[in-house]
Amino acid sequence: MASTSKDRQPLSAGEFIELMEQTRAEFLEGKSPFRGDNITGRSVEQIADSKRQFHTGGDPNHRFEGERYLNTPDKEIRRKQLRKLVDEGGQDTVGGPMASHPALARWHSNEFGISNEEIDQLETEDADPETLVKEGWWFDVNRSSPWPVAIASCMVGEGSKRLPGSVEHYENVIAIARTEFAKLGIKNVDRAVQLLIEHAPFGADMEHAMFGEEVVRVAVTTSELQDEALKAFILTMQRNARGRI
Amino acid sequence: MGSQLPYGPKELAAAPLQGAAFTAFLKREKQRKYAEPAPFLESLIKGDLSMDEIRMWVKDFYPYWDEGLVYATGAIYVKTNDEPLRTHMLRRMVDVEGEEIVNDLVGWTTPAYEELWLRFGEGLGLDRAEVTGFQQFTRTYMSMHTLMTYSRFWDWTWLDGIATWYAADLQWQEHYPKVMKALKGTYGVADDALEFFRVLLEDVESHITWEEEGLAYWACTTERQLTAARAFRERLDIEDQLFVAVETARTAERLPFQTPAI
Repeated sequence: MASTSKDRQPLSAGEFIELMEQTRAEFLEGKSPFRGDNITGRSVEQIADSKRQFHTGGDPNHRFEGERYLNTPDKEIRRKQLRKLVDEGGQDTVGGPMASHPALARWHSNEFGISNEEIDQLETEDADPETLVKEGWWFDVNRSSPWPVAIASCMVGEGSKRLPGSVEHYENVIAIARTEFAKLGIKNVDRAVQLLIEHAPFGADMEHAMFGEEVVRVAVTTSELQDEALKAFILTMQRNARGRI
Repeated sequence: MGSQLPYGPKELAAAPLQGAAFTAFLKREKQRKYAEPAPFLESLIKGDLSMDEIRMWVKDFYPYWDEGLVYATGAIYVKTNDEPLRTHMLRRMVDVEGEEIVNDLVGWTTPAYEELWLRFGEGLGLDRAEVTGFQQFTRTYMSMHTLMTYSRFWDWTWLDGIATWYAADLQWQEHYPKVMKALKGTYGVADDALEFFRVLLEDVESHITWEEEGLAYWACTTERQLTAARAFRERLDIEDQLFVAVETARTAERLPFQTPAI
């Protein structure tokens, strides 16, 4: 009879994080864990089309981040998640310097010729069917999982920013993006790259990555939670991978 | 929408009100249903309560500020896909959970409503443990959980949710200045213990305008207006129900039921 997670001792926090990273490395089969491999070689029209696709059906950020917030009964962790919501939902909400991620996504699109009116229209349209089910699952995992699992699922995206070489990679990506966008005739390159900067390990994402790791360390502490967190981690990587699901 | 039959062709055939007329209608609904404060608050304002009765209210209401309002506010935020309104909601979540959360960004130091409420209790001579350890009256507990679950699930849409915030804000804006005045003037509560009320009322003032604008713009169909108005009335009911047990506790021979200490 196969042993269940209840029968097993949980891994230590360090061992579990190592298992996550080992799982990530195996999943990626030698590919980079970082984003930004599509910055070069695309025309303004191609980038604008991909942005149109991004906006179609609306922005999901508040939904999964909000679910994580709502599900967390631990007051200290919940308030840290709210602080993250402020970073992503707009530091300018409270008089801080940075606009929300959805606003930054619009800045990028605006620079590639997409007006706010067109974005508004795209956001009212049906989502692409594949996006519908991938995002639907993502909302569900953040809504229905135990809160440590939901927050730990950020270890795939934001959590990758903790990995060695991340800072150098994103510095390079942003430098390349600036050059490429300038070559493409983008008028306000600063606005066009701000979303990239916010998602780099020297933007808000590094703090968010460390918060995710903190939650894994203090709250993903039973074998059941570790199994569930690892499953969510793998499914999130599958969701993010192109063309395999 | 709770357990009611859906609105049918007859109700939905009517033309929607213009935006300003709709928010004016909601205000009339409030006056129609709750022109006066809940009896407990009315007695407080008149100076008819004992300090022990006010302390009981503090203990019974702590979970509302600590859990009920926190959850209900976040639950509506999660459902809201219009970014300008969502931004206001996020600001409100920071108000409720404590502006000190963004101290690193803007230097704010105001703590959470629940902390301010505890300080109010301390100003009345209560220990924090007496407040946080109190077994809430069951009627209050059920009222609070109705707010939480209706905010969270399909009972209220995001726009209904805004109508419910508007309902509570109108109530607080009307009653809490009088409550604060009575606490200070009649009951002799120290000014610094009343910080909760000042913060809440300032926050209400900063939110009520966008709530009205949001309702005026987005409640642009008859069905949206009907459901938002129902949610508005339901929130008024919930806010009123929150005071039933403390009133019963001070006026009836026996205390009302309290939640089990399990």
